[in-house]
Amino acid sequence: MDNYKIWINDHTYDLTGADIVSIEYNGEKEIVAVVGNRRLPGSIVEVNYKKKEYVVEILGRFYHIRIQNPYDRLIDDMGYAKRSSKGSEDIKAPMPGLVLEILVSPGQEVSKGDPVIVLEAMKMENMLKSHHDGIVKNVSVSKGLAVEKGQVLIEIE
Amino acid sequence: MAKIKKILIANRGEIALRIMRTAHQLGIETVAVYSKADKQAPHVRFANEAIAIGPAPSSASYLDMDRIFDAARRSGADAIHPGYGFLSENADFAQSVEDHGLTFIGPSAHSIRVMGNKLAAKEAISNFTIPIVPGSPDAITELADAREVANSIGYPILIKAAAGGGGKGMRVVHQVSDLEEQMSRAIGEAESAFGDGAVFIEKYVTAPRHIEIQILADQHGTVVHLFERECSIQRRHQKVIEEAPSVVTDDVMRGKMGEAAIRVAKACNYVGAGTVEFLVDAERNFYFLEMNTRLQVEHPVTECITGVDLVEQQIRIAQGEKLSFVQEDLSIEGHALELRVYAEDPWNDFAPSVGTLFRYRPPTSEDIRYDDGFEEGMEIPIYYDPLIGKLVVHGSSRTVAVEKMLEAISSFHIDGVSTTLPFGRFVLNHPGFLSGNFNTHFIDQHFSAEKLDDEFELDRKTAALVALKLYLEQQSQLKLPTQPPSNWRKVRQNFTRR
Repeated sequence: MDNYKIWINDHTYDLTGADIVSIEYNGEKEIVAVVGNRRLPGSIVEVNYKKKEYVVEILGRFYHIRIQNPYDRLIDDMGYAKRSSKGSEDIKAPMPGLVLEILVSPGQEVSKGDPVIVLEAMKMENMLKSHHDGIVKNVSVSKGLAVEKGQVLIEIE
Repeated sequence: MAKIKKILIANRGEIALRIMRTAHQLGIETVAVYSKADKQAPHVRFANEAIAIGPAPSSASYLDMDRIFDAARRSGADAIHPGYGFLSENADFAQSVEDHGLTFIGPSAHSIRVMGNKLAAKEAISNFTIPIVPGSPDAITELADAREVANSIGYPILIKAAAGGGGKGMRVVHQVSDLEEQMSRAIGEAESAFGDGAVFIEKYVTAPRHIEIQILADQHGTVVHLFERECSIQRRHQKVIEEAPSVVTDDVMRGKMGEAAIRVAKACNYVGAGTVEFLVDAERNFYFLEMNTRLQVEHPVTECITGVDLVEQQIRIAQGEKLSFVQEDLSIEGHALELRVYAEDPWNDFAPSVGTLFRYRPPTSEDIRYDDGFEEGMEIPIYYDPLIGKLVVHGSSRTVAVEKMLEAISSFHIDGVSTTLPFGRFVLNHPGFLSGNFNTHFIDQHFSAEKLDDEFELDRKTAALVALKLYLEQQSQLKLPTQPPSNWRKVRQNFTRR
């Protein structure tokens, strides 16, 4: 049976066509998904067969889904996928804000969970912590600087 | 006192709208003020007139008294309602409003000043037999003094901003080694949030419940209480879920707390709507915490169970009317719950979530009240509180109210930002909450991103299966191959046979 990798919000599943759900339609978009003895109301919000992207609403929550079929997987396995970037170790701003305090300096050793920078946003101080053990490579911002969401603040290797 | 003709609401978002609704019902005109970021906001269009008051940052707009008074002058407003937050508990502002010959819909500058400073408040009520939590009588600036007080009270202790409120400027300290850092952080937050770095120390009551009493006081000496609200579901000392009445009170306790709250209000000559906050320990002893000299975010649950429109009462009181009811006229009907829908991600430690409400369809039904200041397509501004709206339900019993809230959450369509709605569902399904046996540690003790994942596992997997099923159906309809063309098949087999 063909195996499909499904990305949904921040999760992934490996599913086959045998993992079944039955869908009852109340019109074109309103549905009740029946899984075992559970009935979950929802709706089909967006369908893009070509891109294999779907948006499904279940009990009010919207799930953004991307399906990877076995062919796509093969392409990935053959090495065309992005190689994992070192950038995942960087501390990035989770939202726009203001740099309040920088707690580390280049060359400093940090451990996972150590606070490294304090951002102010939405009337609160948010202390960001290191994701893992490492050494501070670069501090890309300065105190008092306004930063954007996703902006790299501190590089740790 | 004369009838108010035109109210300028010195606020924004859901509370501005909510105040305007009652004003219009009373036949009073309204003036909205808005910053550049709120130009398209609903409260701007709902008011009879709207005046721009500056750029997005609060300090340059909603907190700028000169701009507010200028807008009042230009619009001919004869009264100002400050809402909550912003200038609502700024005694200088209240005084200034009176000095400008306008009616401030709230208490006097004196009441605000006394109750606005937690140390002054304790001082004011000291002759009125009101139980309080052990703590330092004065502000503390020296670390050595902090150590001494903390040692004499006994850890854990709480460092609190004297000018604080809304959960800001509070730090729990469990051991003396953390004291220095927490003191410095608390003072820093207090300085930047309230312009006053004074902090004091209090005993940290373990397993406390946060229960508050709503009061109304007219200008003729009558003060009544409108029962309690249970506000213990908090994170970072900010309330997320509130309810009225509390599960833990009975008529006797409620009566005692109500009377204590009335004494607190009288101790500062309070006029208007106010809230007296109490900490309740495991033995159901209550201790005065502070008084909030404004309308609170969670006031709707009280309105649901009493049938009283608190904003209407604020306006009538400000006009000099006598309260049209006495304590005996008030009673509790049913049970109300409120979930604050914040633009925060409960999967990511409630980090603020910025984005656009590209899908936004709140539930509508008879027993649901939803106070918000947004519309589909609007962006969540980063300059203000991340509150999108307040989801309130009223039921004949607590069980019914919980069911209705779960139903409301499941019918709330929202996409584009993360919200506390999933968190609400988690809490309302949790035995700890349902039993009523919870305190302000509930979130720390029972909640985690992993547990939230478990709560939504079935939903999520179902959504994935629905998408997969749709995909497979469409695929078979279109009769397109998923496998690569046949001359590639041999290559694939070579790779997969490892």
